[in-house]
Amino acid sequence: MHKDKIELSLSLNNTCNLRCRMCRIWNSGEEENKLTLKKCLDIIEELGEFEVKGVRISGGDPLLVPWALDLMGYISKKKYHSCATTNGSMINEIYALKIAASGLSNLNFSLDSYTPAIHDAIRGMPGCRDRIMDAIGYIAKEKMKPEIGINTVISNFNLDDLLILMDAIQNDKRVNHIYFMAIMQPFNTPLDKEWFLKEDFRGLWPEDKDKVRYVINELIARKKSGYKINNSFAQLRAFIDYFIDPLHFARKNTCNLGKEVMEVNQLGDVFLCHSYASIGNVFQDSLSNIWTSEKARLVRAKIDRCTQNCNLLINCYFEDENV
Amino acid sequence: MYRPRICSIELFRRCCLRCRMCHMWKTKEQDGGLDKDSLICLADGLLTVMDGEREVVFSGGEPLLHPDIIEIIKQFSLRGFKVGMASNGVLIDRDKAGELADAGLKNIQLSLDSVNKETHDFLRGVPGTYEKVLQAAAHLSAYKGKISVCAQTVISGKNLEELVDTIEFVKNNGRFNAISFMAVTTPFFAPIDHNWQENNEFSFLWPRDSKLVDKVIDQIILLKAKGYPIANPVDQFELFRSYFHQPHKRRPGVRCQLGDYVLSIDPSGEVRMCCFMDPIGNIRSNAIAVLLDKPEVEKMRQDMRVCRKVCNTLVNCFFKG
Repeated sequence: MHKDKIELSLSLNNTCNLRCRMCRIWNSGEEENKLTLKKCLDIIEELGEFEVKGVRISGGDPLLVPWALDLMGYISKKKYHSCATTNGSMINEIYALKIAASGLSNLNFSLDSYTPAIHDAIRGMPGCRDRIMDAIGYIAKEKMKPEIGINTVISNFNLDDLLILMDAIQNDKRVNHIYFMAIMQPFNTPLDKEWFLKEDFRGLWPEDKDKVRYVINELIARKKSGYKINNSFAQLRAFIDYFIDPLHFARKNTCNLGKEVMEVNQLGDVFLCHSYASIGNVFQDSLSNIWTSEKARLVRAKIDRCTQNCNLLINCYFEDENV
Repeated sequence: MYRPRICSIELFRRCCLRCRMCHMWKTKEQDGGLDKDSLICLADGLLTVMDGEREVVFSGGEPLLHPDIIEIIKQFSLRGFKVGMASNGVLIDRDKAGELADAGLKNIQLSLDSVNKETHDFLRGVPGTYEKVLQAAAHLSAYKGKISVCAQTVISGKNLEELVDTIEFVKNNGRFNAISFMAVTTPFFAPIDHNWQENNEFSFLWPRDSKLVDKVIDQIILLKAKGYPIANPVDQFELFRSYFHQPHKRRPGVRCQLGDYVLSIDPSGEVRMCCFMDPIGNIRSNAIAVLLDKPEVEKMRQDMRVCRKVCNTLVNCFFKG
């Protein structure tokens, strides 16, 4: 038994019903999702070999998978911390009841603006901001409910509106926290260091450096006064550096993704880091064997030497000591 | 924003039968209809506006004539919709039943107008239809845990005397989960005629013997009380009785509730709150949330609540006690 402390990320699908400007997963075609409920339950069972920090359920939008709630129920039965991120469109009053009953620990909604027109324009689907607010209401009504979080991607589209969103969320007692992310190269597009200069994505990138500095410093000031912002001060400051000079922003230390995080995608392929090859597939080997495999060792060695500016590190897996 | 719970989607107007009470097959709108991509796009949009169990009902024409119907059902059920379908059953063989179950279809209404083969085939206009619909029900019944199969019977002057036997058949035959009734109304896609019951082409459809209507409806209510699998509520049968006695009379106490939970989309993509009202827009030019957010939708819903039109939609599909 390894008893390595890991966080498992399960990406249940690569389909989504929104058409977000900062994510092209919806454009990835109709690739079949190979993960099944049975396979996911087996994976959760195998987590007994590890010390588990938690299980992230992601996608696409994972709530579009019909058995997502069964999986959440099983994770909660095993007493693991679980979180899921959703665009909220699936959640009506009936679905909210089921989520609450599943025992999910944390439910994060992707909300980029408090203004319906701005959020809907970024997410490419009219009505989706209203659906999130309705969904929060339905979830909040339940007695046993997950913590409710908001994930917000900072981009040129919502920079003017960010503080309005922050203040609205601060005053909304139903929401436990907000977590900001910086706009990165849209998922499912060919890798390009200078992506933000390209015509397709130009609108996403905040050109006005003074405004970026002002808005993020205001967020820092609000966090100092006790606002429920889940990012650390260091991460918010790192966002400023990144927006001011995206090509030269770099981590100061090596990252430790390979030591704590394991991601399984919808095909069952397992990754330590998306910049490197898969270290195995859950349909061919056990999670434990994959984690300790020669492939995993080689990828860890590459991660140790890696100096890339990296999406994961500035956003989801940011660690203070890196900056 | 209006958040419907049921969305009725009319895929196209093609049909392989020649039903006496529906002349859709005679229309010149046989081509076209809603394609797979438009429907998947619609599914994505409906997720952001619908509430409840998000029921989607595909109709036509005959939905199974749509070349992509299995993929369409799959995409809707993958998105968590409760997908139902109205079908004449003639295209459902063993393989098709399996495909429908795998795609996630939750319920299907199969037209069955009588236990009497001659009556059913006469009303549906094509010989052999009766045998085919029973075969379809048999194939579908292999997936009873997945698909609920309901016989759908249109009450008319032609089958009135055979209804009780039809109920007994459905109960004892084991292929159907339930039977649901509709009352014959103005034949679809025939020229609008408020006195259609007197038109020679359709007069046989109207049950003229009031005493027989009363007797049969009383028998059906009794069977329902005994626990027979009859889907309609008792007060709907009382409404049928009153409708057959006086088809043109407004029935007090029956309030239109369509605007409370239903949305309809026709084969050209036009979205309607009510088939007698103008469309609120088209799914090909606007997202569904944009259409439902229009101020005129609220106005239409208010008008529908106080509408006093004698409307047979209320008698049938969307009856609420």
